[in-house]
This record gives sequence, C-alpha cells and structure tokens, in this order.
Amino acid sequence: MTHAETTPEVGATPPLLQAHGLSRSYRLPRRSLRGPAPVRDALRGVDLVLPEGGALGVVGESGAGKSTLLRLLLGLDRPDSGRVLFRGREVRASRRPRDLVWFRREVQVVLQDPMGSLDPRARVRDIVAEPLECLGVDGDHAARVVEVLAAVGLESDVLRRYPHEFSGGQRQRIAIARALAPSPTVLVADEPVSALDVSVRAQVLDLLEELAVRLGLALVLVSHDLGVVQRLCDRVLVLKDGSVVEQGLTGDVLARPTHPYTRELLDAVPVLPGMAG
Amino acid sequence: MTGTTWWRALLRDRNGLLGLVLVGTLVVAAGVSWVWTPYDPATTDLKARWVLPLRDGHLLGTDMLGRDQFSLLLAGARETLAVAVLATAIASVVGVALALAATLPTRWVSASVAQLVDVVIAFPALLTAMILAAVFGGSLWTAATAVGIASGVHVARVARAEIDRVRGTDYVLAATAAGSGTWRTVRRHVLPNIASTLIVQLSLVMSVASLTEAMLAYLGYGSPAPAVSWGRMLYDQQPYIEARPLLVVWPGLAVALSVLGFNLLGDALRDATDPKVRGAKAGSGAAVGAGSAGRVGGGAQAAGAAGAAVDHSSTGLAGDAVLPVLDIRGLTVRINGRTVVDEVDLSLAPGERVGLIGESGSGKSLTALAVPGLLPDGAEASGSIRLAGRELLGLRERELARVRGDQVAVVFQEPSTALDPLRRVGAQIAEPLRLHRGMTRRQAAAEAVELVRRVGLPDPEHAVRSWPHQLSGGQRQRVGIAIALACRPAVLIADEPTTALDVTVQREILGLLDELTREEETALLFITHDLAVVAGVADRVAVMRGGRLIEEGTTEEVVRAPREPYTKDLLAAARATAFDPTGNAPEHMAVNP
Repeated sequence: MTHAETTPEVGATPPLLQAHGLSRSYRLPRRSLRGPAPVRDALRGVDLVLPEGGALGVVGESGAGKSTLLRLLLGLDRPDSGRVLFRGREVRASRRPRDLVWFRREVQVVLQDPMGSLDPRARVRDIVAEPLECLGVDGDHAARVVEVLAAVGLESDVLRRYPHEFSGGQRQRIAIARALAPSPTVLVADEPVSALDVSVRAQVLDLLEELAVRLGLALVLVSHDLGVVQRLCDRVLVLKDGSVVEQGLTGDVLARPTHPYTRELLDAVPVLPGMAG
Repeated sequence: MTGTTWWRALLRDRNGLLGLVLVGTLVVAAGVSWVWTPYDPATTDLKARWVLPLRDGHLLGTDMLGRDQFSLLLAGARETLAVAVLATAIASVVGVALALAATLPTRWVSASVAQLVDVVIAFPALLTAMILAAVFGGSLWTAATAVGIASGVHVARVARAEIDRVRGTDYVLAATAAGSGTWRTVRRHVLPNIASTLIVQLSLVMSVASLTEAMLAYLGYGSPAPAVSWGRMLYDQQPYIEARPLLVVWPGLAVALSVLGFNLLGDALRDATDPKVRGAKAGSGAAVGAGSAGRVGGGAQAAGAAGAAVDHSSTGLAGDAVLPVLDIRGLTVRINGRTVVDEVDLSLAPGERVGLIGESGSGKSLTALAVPGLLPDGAEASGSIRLAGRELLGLRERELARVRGDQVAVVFQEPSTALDPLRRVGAQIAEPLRLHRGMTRRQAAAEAVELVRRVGLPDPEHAVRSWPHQLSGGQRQRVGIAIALACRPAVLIADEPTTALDVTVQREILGLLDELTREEETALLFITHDLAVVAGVADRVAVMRGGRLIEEGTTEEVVRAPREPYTKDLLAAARATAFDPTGNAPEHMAVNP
C-alpha cells in the first residue's frame, strides 16, 4: 500500500518508463485563408513516472489528451517537445519499425474496442503471433501462442477461429494475449473494459490484475472510469485540457482530491445505493 | 466451421455455384474452341444458309452465310473471355497503383493523382474505346485497354477509400504498436481487408468489358472480319432480325449469361472470402457469442428458467386506479426465426420512470424499440403494446409515424449520429412540431428556441442556427432531448442516452432528463446496462436476460434485495467495478514494495 515516492532524480537506476514535459499540438483545418492555421494544444508539458511493476491510471474526459499521451508513450508519434524514456533510453517514433524493436518488446498495448482492434480477416493464431513475428522474438512461436492464450484463459481450440466468433470479453482476452506474447514489462491499456458488459468487465479486470501480479507487469491504464482506476492502479494522474491537474497515490487523490476538477469528476460518478454503507 | 475454406463456402452458396457454372462454361467453351468446333466458324457454306436449329447436324442452325452458329458461339467465347481478362488485368494494375499513389504521404503527389482520377472518370469508356479503335483499328486490345483504363480509375477511387478506411482501424494501430512495418501492414492487414471490395469491383470490370466488347463489335468497331465475336454475330445478323429472330437470341443470350456469371461469381467470392459472412452462411457462427452473452460470475446459469414467472400483481399498479399509459403484454420479437424477446410484460403509469436493465443481447433495446415500431428489418413482433389504451402492434407504417415523435419519442445513444449533419439544429427541433402540431415555420422556429432554452443550451437564439458538428457530444444529446420532448410525448424512451458521454456531462444530461420528465409528467423508459445510472433516475427497474424479463420491482427493492441470482450477480459485478467514494486503493497493490 505504501508506495515509495519515485522521483526521477533519486536512485541510480532510471525508472522503467518516464515522460518529461511532453507537449504535442495539432494543426486544425484552416477557417480562413489569411493568417496561420489554428492550432490545438492536445498536451502541454506532461510529466509522469512508471516504476517497475507499478500501475498508473490516467484519468480524464474526452478531449483531455489521453489518446495523444498514449500515442506518445507508445512511440507512435513524436512530441513537439519533451521526451519519453524507457529505462533511461529515449523512445523516438520512427518510420523504420526496426528502430523501436527493443522498445516494443518491452511495451505492448491493449486497445479499447476489442471489435476493432483485431483484424477480422486474421485467425486468432496469426493475431497473437503478430508481435512475435514482427519483433523477431526467438523461440517456438506456436508454443508461445498457446501459452499466452492459456494465460488469458482460452483453450488452444481457438487458434484457427476468427475474431467475429467470440464475445466481446473473449476478444479482449485475445487482445491481451497478443500484448503478452513478446513477454513485455509494461502493458499500456486504453480503456480496456469500457466497451464490455458489466459482468465481463469484472472478469477482464480480474485477469489484468492477476497477470500484473503474476508476471510483474507494470500497467499504464488510460480510462475515464474511476472505478476501474481505483481497482487496478496504485497511482493516478488526472488530465484536463492537456495538462496534469493532479497526480499522486490513488487512495489519496480519490479520497482527498485537491484540484476542483478532480472533485467535480468524483462527484459526477453515479453511485449504486449501498456502496457507501 | 473453423475448417471452412473459402472455396467450400463458395460451393455452398447457390448463387456462387451458378456463377461458377456460367463462368466455367465460358472458360471451357473458349478452351474447347481452340482445338475443336463442330464446323470451322470462319467457313461460309452458301448451300447451307438459314438451316434451322437441330437440322443437318447444326445444333443452333446457320446464318445467311451458312456458318454454324454453335461453332461461332464457341469461338466467340474466346474473344469475350480475352477482353474480360485483359481489361481486368489492366484495371487492377492501374487501379491499385493509382490508389496506392493517392495514399502516399507526399501531399502533392496524392492530391494530383486524386485529381487525375476524377478527370479520367468523367470520360466514358465506350467513347475512349471508339476513339482508340478509330485511331489504331478495332481489336481486342483497343476494347480491353479502353475498358481497363476507364474501369481502373473507378477501381482506384474505391480502393483508395477502402485503404483509407482500413488504415484508420484499430487493428492497424495495434499492428503498428506490435512493431509491424508499413509493407507488412499493407500485405497482412490492408490488402486482405480491401480484397472483398476489390473482387466485386473487378468482377464488375469483367462484365462491363464483355458487354463493351459486344457493343463495340455491334457498332462496327470490333476486331476485323476473320475474328469471331458475339458482338460481331449480332452485327452480322442485324439486317435479318425480323426474318430470323432466333439467330440474334443465341449471341445475346451468351453475352447476358456471361455478364450474369461474372457478377454472381464476384458477389459470391466477396462473401466467401469474408470469414464473418462465410461463418454465418455455414450456420454455426452464432454459437460462441450466444453461449457467453449473459454469463455473470458463477451460479447465474439457473436464472433464466426461474425468471419467466415474474409476479405482476406486485408492480404497484394493479391496486391503484391509474391506467398505465404504456402497457406491454406478452411481447415477443423474432428475428429470422430466433426469439430475441420472449413474452415480456411491462407497464408504465403516467409520469412513471422505469429502468430497463440488461447486458448486450438481453433484448432490452428491442423491447423498447418495438413500442414506436422501430425494430430492425426482418424482426417480427407479436403480443400487445397499448399506448394510452390504443393498440400499436399491427398499425400501419403511416399510422405509426403519426404516433412517433408525438406520443412516443426516443432519445438515442449516439448523439453524433442521431442528428442529421446537413440540417441546422433549429430545423431539426422544429420538424416534429410542424409535422404533428401543424405549426407554421415561424411558430415552430420560435418554439424551437424555447425548447433549446429549456434543455439548457447557452445562447438559444444563436444555438438554433448552428450545425450539429459545431456542438459537443453533450450539447448534441441536449438537442436530441429537445427534439424528443418537442411535442410533449406521453412516453419517452431513452436508449442508453449517456453511455457515449463523459461522466460530468452524463450527470448533467441525467439531471436534465429527470427535471423535464417530471415537469411534463412524461413516462420514461430508460434503457441501460449501468445499474448505477438507473438507480438515480428510475422509480422502478426491470431486469432482462436472454430476451426474458426476469425481475421487476422498485429500484430500492431490486438494488438492496434482489431476488434473482442473476440480478445479484449483476449487482455484485457492478459493485466490483464501480467507483467507491469511501474506498481506498485495492489491497493487491501492497505487492509493489
């Protein structure tokens, strides 16, 4: 429970994943011919630290910059300023996938919509083997695929099936299996359960929790759902309009929010009668 | 099912089989004609002119020059097939190359390619072919080139749109995050996913090419004399069409059947290469999804059977003299023979708010959408739905339209798609008023401003003039509510109206719905999967599972002391993932030192 404050300056070994002053703006379509095109600052100077085995929740509403932050953390896009460091080594998005193989073996992603994130034309076997193949991971890929599918609770009879044959929860398990395939140390999850039914949600969260503990995975969980963050994350970061308004231990932030926006967010969550009692 | 390959799926598809047979016949005829025809198709025999079919060894008879029609047909198949294949080859090379060029990251290249494509599209293929034929002389090549290029740009445009679509999908993003390079992504994800559309396009090119060949030859721009083609046969026999109509029928039929064959085969190939459609046609695809649809933790499996017997005397209505404004009795909805809503009874008193809860596939939305008659195509409803005493089931579409938006209105889940993007907000709010209340344009516009004010949009006079895309998600949902409440309906159906919204916006919208329905005494049927949301809005909740209504009671009863094991599990699952304002971070975090 007591999580030592991990600051980038302290200690000899650099933290697992770290971001310094990340900013990113996007040019919007012009409204008129005169003057420069309007610019939207999606992210303004975001700092974050993810220690080994930690779980960081990123909370914010639509337009807060969650997706932009995620893209930068995954090395899919370059920040205008600031840096992303993995074990002290800079992660720079590149057109050549080879440049980031070292990073992608360590950091994998699970996206929100399990319908959309699996290629409808590919069999489960090929979907889960994709990172192994792309990242040139050594060893028996077929065996590894069976192994990670077992880890997410799927039998090997699913190998030759297509995504549409599965329910939402099962699809999300397949997506998690794909992310686990290259034995990463960090799992980045973008709203991993918000597209699922309530009952399935609990199962997928249980699975993520179990995997994180068993495999010593560090988690970055992007979510608008405070319940999910409360359950899985030891630290939380609240984003609003591209800036971090509050950051700290989950228990502290959710129990004693200091920023009015965090308070507003907490108050807005519909609560089941009987939760408080 | 997993073993279903695309060709097996193709053979199972009746249309596909027919297409395969037709195209196969064409290919076989062309092949056979190289080595054998009953007579030499080019040889004229003036002693055997106008022989009727099945006489003197002429299967289909002879023409004015004594040429055997069957032999001509066989030989003509070569020309048709050659033009079709050549044109398709040219079209696919041109099309895919242009499409890839148009999606290049270099802006000016992609933009000019796109422009070029638009210009070439404006030029008809037949005209190009005639010009080419006039310059280079008519031949198989001019027809194929003209059709190939003209169709190629069409293919390019479609392929480009498809490439853009696939590039924007999450699975391409996931592949990139998994370390897949551009070419691998194109090969493994983009091409397979645009293939079905391309197959249909290319089968269209084949049929257009064979048709164009026939047309060109008929117009006299075809291959010169010794060459045999179906269009040429038509051209030759045109002067005698009244005396010998049958002779025009053979080549005409051959052209028509080939075109039909290409089209049928193309459509069937599209379906057969799509694992989803292929699975559905094999008839076992639904098994996985259905089996896991409503499972909650353990112990919930027994819930379905017991759930049918919900005691309706306990709904609190029977004792009162208040007549229900909406009374659903024994509602059953079937889609393609599958029962998706099973004998549902539900009633709403005037001004009452009822939450309809269930997970995806539970039938909650279909139950609600059956009321205004908005069920998807192919769905059949039976039972009884009475709105203020009037039976709605079985009403004709025109009568239902009068009820919709007037006495029953719906607020949909997705505010971004529920509004017409090409009409101003005010006009959309005014529409039901003009339709049902017979207001003039001016009156309706004034009322729209008032409604916009009531749903809490800032600066109403200005807001009615705005377009849907200028509003945020929450504002659009407010407009959706304004439209729904415009005619002060007796019943408002809200289908997951806040699921697509942020929590802070959700709270505002819930408050608004609460306030407005209370003011107008509107009965509210609120559909949601989120128990916490419904708890704050509804007086009563009904729980659905697998098409049945399994539990019903006041919100307090159901949430505090659910009777059905399924409801208990649902509540437990909701509590397990819900935000707990008093709680701290979970225990397992102690694992991290």
